[in-house]
Amino acid sequence: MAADVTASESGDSGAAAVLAQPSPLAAFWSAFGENKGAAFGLAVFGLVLMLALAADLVAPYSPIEQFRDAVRAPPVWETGGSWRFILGTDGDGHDMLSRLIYGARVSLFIGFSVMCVSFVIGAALGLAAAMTGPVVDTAVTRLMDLIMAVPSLVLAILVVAVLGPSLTNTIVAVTIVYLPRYVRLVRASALGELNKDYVTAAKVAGVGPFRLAWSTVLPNCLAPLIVMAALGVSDAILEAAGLGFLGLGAQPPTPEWGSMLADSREFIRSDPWIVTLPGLAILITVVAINLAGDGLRDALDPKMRRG
Amino acid sequence: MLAYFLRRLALTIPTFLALMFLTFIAIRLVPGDPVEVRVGEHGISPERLAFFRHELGLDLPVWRQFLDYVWRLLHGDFGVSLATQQKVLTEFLTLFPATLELSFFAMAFAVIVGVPAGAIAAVKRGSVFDQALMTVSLFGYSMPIFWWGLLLIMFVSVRLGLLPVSGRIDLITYYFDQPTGFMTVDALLSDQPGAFLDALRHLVLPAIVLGTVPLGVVARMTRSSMLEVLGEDYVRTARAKGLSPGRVIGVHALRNALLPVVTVIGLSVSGLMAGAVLTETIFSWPGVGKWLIESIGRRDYPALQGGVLLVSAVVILVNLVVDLVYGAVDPRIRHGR
Amino acid sequence: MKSVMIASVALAALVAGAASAKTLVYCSEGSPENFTPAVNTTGTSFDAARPVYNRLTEFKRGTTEVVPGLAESWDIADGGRTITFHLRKGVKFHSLKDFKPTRAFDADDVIWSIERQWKPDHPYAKVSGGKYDYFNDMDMPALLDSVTKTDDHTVVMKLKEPNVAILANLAMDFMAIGSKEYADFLLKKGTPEQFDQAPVGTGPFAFVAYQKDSVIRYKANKDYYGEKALVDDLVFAITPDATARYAKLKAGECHINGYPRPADLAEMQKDPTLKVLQSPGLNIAYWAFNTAKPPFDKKDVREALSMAIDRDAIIKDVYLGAGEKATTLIPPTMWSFDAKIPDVPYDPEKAKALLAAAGVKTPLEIDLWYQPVARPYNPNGKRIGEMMQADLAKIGVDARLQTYEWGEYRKRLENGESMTGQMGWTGDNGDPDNFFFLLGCPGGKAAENNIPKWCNAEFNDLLVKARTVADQAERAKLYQRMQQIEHDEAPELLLAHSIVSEAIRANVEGYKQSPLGTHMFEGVDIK
Repeated sequence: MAADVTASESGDSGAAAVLAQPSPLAAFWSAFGENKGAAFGLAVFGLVLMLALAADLVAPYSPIEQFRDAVRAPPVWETGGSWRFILGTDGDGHDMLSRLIYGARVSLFIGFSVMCVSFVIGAALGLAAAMTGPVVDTAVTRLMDLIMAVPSLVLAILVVAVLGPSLTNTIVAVTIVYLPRYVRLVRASALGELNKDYVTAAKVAGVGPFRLAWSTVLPNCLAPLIVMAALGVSDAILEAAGLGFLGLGAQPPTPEWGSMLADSREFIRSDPWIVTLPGLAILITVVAINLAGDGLRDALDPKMRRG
Repeated sequence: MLAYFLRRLALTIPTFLALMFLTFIAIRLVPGDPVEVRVGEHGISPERLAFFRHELGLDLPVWRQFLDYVWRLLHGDFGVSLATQQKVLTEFLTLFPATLELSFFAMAFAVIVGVPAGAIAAVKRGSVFDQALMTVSLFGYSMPIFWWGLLLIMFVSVRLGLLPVSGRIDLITYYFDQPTGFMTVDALLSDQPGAFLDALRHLVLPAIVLGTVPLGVVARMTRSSMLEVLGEDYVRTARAKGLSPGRVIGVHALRNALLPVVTVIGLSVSGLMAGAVLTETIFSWPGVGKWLIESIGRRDYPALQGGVLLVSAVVILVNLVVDLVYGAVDPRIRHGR
Repeated sequence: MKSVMIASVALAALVAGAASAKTLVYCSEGSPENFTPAVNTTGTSFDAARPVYNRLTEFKRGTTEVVPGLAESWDIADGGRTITFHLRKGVKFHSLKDFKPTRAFDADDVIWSIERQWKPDHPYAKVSGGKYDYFNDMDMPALLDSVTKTDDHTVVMKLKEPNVAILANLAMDFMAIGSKEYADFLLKKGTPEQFDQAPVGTGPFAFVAYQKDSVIRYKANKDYYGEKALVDDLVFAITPDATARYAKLKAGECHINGYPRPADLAEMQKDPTLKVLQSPGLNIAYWAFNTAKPPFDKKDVREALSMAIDRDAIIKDVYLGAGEKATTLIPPTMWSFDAKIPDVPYDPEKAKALLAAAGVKTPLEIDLWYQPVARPYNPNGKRIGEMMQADLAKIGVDARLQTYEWGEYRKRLENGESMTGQMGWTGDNGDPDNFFFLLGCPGGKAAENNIPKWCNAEFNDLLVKARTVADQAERAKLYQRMQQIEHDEAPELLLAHSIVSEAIRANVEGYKQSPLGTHMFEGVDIK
C-alpha cells in the first residue's frame, strides 16, 4: 500500500533548484547526495547488502547449527549473556546473530527477485496491453483489476496455499500481488507516449512495434518505473515477512526473519530478544530501502524535487 | 453522470466473474483433501471417505462443480463451512462487523492524527516538527505490523497492564445482546454504564497497530498535498487580501488539500483488509481475517472460497463508491477516459 | 481510566442485580465446530458441549474411573453380550428462549441419541454434515446388535460380541444424550441444525449464547442431579493466542487457562496470584520404523537408531521439561503399566557397533517424517525432527526431513510410505486396549494405525484375548506381557508422554485436571 502512494506523491527533500545543465548522471548524484536521509538510507542498505553477500565470512556460526548446551542463551548485555553468542540463541540453540545475517540474504533475495521478475513481466505486459490492440489490452487490464481487488496478503496466502509454502513460492506469490502496479504504470506511460508526434513519425517511418517499444516508449517511462521498483523491494520484503509470520513463507531451517519471529512467539515473555531482534532487522532494512527509494525518486524527477 | 455510473458499474461485473473463477480454481488446487484433514489419529475407512466426498460433490467433474458453484452464488448461496456446518454467508456476516469496527477505528486513528500532523508539518515546513513527523511516518509505513503488535502487547498490556490484551469487551462485567455486531454501538444501546468505554479500551491497541501504516501514508499525503495547495495562486491571493493565516490554512488550503487524501483513504481499504489478517491473528480478534487464515489451516474449501470472494467484493464495492464520489466531485475524471 | 472502570462496575452492580453474580471465565483455545459431540472430533468442541450434556456412564471428574451417569445402574448378562441400563428418574432438560421442555429425560432420548449416529434413516442422520467419526472409529456399528427400551426408564443394549471396554466407551463425549423432544420441536419448525448450534441437555450448566470466535455463555443448572455448579455463570472466552491467554489470566479477565505455553510455566509458578497444575497426560509420542522397508526389517538396526537419539535433550528443549521419557506404549498412570520394563539407553557408540554388526554400511540414508502440526503429545514435530537429525548424523545416518499437510501425512504414514516417521496417540477412555490396538494386526495384516507395519502373532493374540477377559488383574498380566514383547522387538522408539499443564487463578477452588485432557467446571468455585 505504501508505494501506491509514495510513488505518486511529492517529496520531502529540500534540494535547491538546479541552475546549470550538467550531465544527467552527475545531476542525479548531486541531488541524491544532498538528501541526507537518502544517503543515510543507502548507506544502511549497503551495509545490510554487504552482510548478506558476505554472510559466510561474517557470521560467527552456521545458521542451522544447534548448540544444545546453550539453548535460549541471552544476548551479551543481559545478565547471563556471553560474548560467545552476542545476540543470544533461539529456541533451537541457533546463534541469533548468524541467523539474522543469513536472514538478510534470504530477505534481500526475495526482495530483489520479486523486483526483477515483476519489473520484466510488468513492463512486458504493460507494453503489450498498450501496443497490441484492444483484446490484449482488455484481458490484461481486467486481470490486473482482479488482482488488485483481492487484498494483497489474502491473495498471497491463497497462492501459497495452492503452491505450498516455500521460498520460491513466496517469491511467486508476492510477485503476482505486486504485478498490477508495474503493468498499470507502463501501460499508462506508453499510451501517453504513443500519441505524441515523434512516435507517430517513427511509425510512419516504418519503425517496427518492438523497436518502437524498446527505443521510444520504455526509456520515457523508465524513471518512475525505477522508483517503483526500488520501493517495491521494501514492500516485497514486508509482504514476505508477513507470509513467513503466518507460517506460509520459507520453511525451516531457512533463516527467514518473518518465520523466525513466528517460531519464537512462544518465548516473547520469557526470552523477548528472540522475538524482538528479527522484527528490528525487518524494520531497519525496510526503512533504509524506503529512505533511499524516496531519495531516488526525488533525484530522478526534477519536477517533484521542486515541490 | 448516469452514463459514467453505469459504465463504472459494468466494469465491475467481469471482475466479479473472474473472481469467482479464480477462487474456485485456486481452491481446487490446494493440496490436501478436505475430508481427510478433519480426521484425527483415528483415521477413516475408504468407504466412508468416498461417501463424504460424494456428499460434498467432490466426485463430480470439475466443470460441473464450477457451474454448480456459480449457480448457487447467483442465488446468494455461498456454501456451507465444512468445519462448522454453518452457512458461509452467515459466518461472514457474524464476523464482518468486528473487522469493520476495527478497520474503522484504525482509519479514524490514522486520519485524526495524520491529517492535522501533516498539515502542520506542511505549514512549518523544514521545522523540527516537520522532520520528526516525516521520520515517524517513514517508520509507520515501513512497519512489520505483526511485530509491532507483539511489542505493544508486551509493553503496554503485559508489562504495564494499561490496556486489555485481546477480546472485545470485559466478559465478566458486561453482557448484553448484540443486534448490530459492532461492540461499541451495542454497548451504547445496552444501557450498561461503562460498557462503551470498556469496548473502546479493547479497541485501542488493535486499532493503533492496524492504523500504523495508514497513519504514515495519510500524514505524508496530507503534507505534500498541502504544500502544493499552499503554493497555489488563490491561497496567495487570500493571504494577500489579509485573511488570517489560520483561516487561510484551515478553510481554504486544507479543504482543497483533502481531496487526494480522501482518495488515499478509499484506496486503503484493500490494505486494511490485508493488515486485518495479521492484526486479528495477533489480537485474537474475532473477525474475517483470522477466520480466513484458520480456514486455510482446516482446508475448509467453502469458507475460504466464500470468504475471499466476499472480502474482495467489499473491496471492489468500496473502490466503486470512491470512484463515483470522486467522479461527482471532480468532473475531469468522469469525462477523462 | 481505571477509576472509571471501577465506578462503572459499582454502578452496574447497583442497576442490575445480576451483575453481582459469580462468573467463572475459562480462556479456551479455539471456537467449537458446534455443540453436538457426536458430529465433532476436536477436544475444543467437546469441552464446549460437555457442560451441557450427560452420558449414560461418566468419567468421575479428574479420573478415568467409570461411574453412573444418566444410567443409575446396569446389569450385565449373557456373558457380557447384554447390558440393561436403569435410567435415572426425574432428570430435567434445560430451557432455551424458544424451547421449554414438557417432559423429563427418558429412554426415548437415549435411543434417539444413539440411533442418530447409527441409523442412516434417522431424521437427524444427515443434519450438520452427518459425520459420526467417533461412533464409527470406536467400532460401534460392528459392536452394537440392538438398543431397545423395555419401559420409559430401562434400555437394553445387545452386543454382537463381548467387549469389556464398552462401558468406558459410553462415557466418552460422542455418547452425549440429547433431548428428543427438542429435536422434534426443531424438525417441525424446520431448523434442525439449531439442535447442534443451541444445545439442550441435562448437564450442570445450561447453554445461553454463543458468539463465534468470541465467547460462549452458560448458566448454572439449579436442578442438576449430580455435582452442582458453584458459580452462577460460566463463560468461555475464546482466546487462540497463548500470550493473550496468559495476559488475561494474569489480569483476572479469566480464571482458568487450559493450555499455557511451556515457555511461560516458570514465570507462572513464581506468580503468587496464579497456580500451575500439572499431571501426566494420557498420551504417547513415538518414532516408528517401517519394519516392511529394509534395513528396518532388522531388529538390530531399529535398536541402533533408537539408542542414537538423545531423548533427554528433546524433553528438555522441546517439551521444555513438560514430558517424561516413555518406556512403554502406555503412560505410567494407567493400570497394567509395567514398571520393570527398562529404558532404552542413549548410547551412540553402541549404536554404531550395532549398525556395523548388522552389516549396514554408513553413511546410511533414510527419510525422517516429522509431524507438521503440534499435537498434545508432541509440541513441535519439526524441532524434534531437527534434533533427531543431528543425533543420527553422529552415528553416520543421514536423515532427510520430510513432511506433508497433516491429513496427507497421516494417510501416507498409514499406507506405509515412510521409512521412519513421528506419530503419537491420545487416549480416549483410559482403557489400555485403547493404546495397544495401535500395534494390532487383525487377520495377520498390520492395521492402519499400526505405523511400523509390525506384526507379531503373540502380541496380537494377547490383544484380542484381553478384550474378553472381565477380570482387571488378569487383563493387566496380558498387557504386561505385551509391553515386554514390544520392548524386545523395538518396532518404534517411544519418545515421551507429555505432562499436561494448566494454569488457574489462585482464588479458584475445586478445579481438577482430567487425565483425559478434558476441562470440567462443576464443583469449581471462586473465593
